[in-house]
Amino acid sequence: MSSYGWGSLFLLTSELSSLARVAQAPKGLLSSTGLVFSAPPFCFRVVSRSRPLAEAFFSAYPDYELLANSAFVDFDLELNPVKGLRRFFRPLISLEFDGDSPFDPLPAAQAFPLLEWGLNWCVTSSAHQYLMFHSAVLAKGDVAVLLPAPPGSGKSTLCAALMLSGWRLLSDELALIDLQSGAVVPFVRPVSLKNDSIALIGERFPSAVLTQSVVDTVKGTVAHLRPSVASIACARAKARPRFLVFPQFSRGSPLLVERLRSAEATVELARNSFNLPVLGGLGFHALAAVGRECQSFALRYERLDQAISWFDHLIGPVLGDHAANKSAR
Amino acid sequence: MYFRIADSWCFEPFPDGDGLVYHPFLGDLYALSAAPCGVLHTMANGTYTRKGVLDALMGIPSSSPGGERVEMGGHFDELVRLGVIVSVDL
Repeated sequence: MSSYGWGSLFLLTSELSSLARVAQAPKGLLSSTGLVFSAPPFCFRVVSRSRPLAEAFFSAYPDYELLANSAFVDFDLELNPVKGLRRFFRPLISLEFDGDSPFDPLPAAQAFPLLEWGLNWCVTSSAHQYLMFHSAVLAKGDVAVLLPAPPGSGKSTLCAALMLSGWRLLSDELALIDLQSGAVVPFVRPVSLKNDSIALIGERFPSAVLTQSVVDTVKGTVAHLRPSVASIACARAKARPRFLVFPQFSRGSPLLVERLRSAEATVELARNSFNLPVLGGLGFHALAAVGRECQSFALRYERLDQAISWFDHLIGPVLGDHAANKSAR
Repeated sequence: MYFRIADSWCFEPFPDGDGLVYHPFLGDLYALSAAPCGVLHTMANGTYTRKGVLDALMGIPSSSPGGERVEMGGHFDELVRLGVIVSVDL
């Protein structure tokens, strides 16, 4: 099977249906041994006694592969209430990773966002076998679009809208680049929506499954969108980066697109890297390979329907070429 | 005209004539642009081949292909000053 094949979706979906899934272990997270699940390319164990966390987790992760407790896990996390008198009037929850507490405790109601941020932190601080960017990644077939952008740019809203419009989600937050092949490795996780975008996505896409909103986090009000089953089914199918799009939500703005020169876009992409300095020359050559392979654009938008339509038109010719090449083979 | 990048720096050319140089442990990254209004001109395999490079090296304004005068310098001057670009051979 091709490692990139969109055509393999049916097969992958069939495989997925035969696997044990998180939804089959509703109390697993709350047990003393926790719950072990696969979010390729990593395996996690999460242990917690927090019921709000367990409820949000089962809303966002039901379709993920459930693993045996004896399975090897890459990241072992525990989230538990902070002890002491304070727990009676302002309960807090803390995250432990391999016995360390990398973050200050947060209000107990923020347990699920804390878990999500913790999972991101685990990967970005450890997984240096990849070149990592702060970027959403979506694809059709094996053709990937990277959307690197700082917080507040509308990246996650756009990412959610594209996924709910039939695009394959590879990641909302982290683009993982394979250093050898230059391919994007999917790391499919719930999409983190903030503030106004929660209602926007909920109203525009009634089938979207969102966790309960959590207010007053450092990012404002936060809710997480469950990834599509198709995206999870293809979570081991790498994709080729072909487009770099730097999105910027701008109220009142018409859709504006500016073509960027590859080198300047690549420098902008590098600004969104988590570990380029760690990887040195190896990372630089992988970075340049991504930049060379991609057409780059700055996108300013207000209306989601216009933006989605632009993305569909952007990728259409490449998909056409790709299909023609495949049939020629 | 050709020039050489200092040995400790990595170089990556782009098909459109732009390029990148990167220091693998200092982490400095520069885009070398071949754009008409940009800093440097055509490059291939680590060599630059336009008059604009020499003009830039000498700190004088150069001309874009369209004839509009643009200020050169920027990245290139900085790279020379930093010693990233170590020699120029006309």
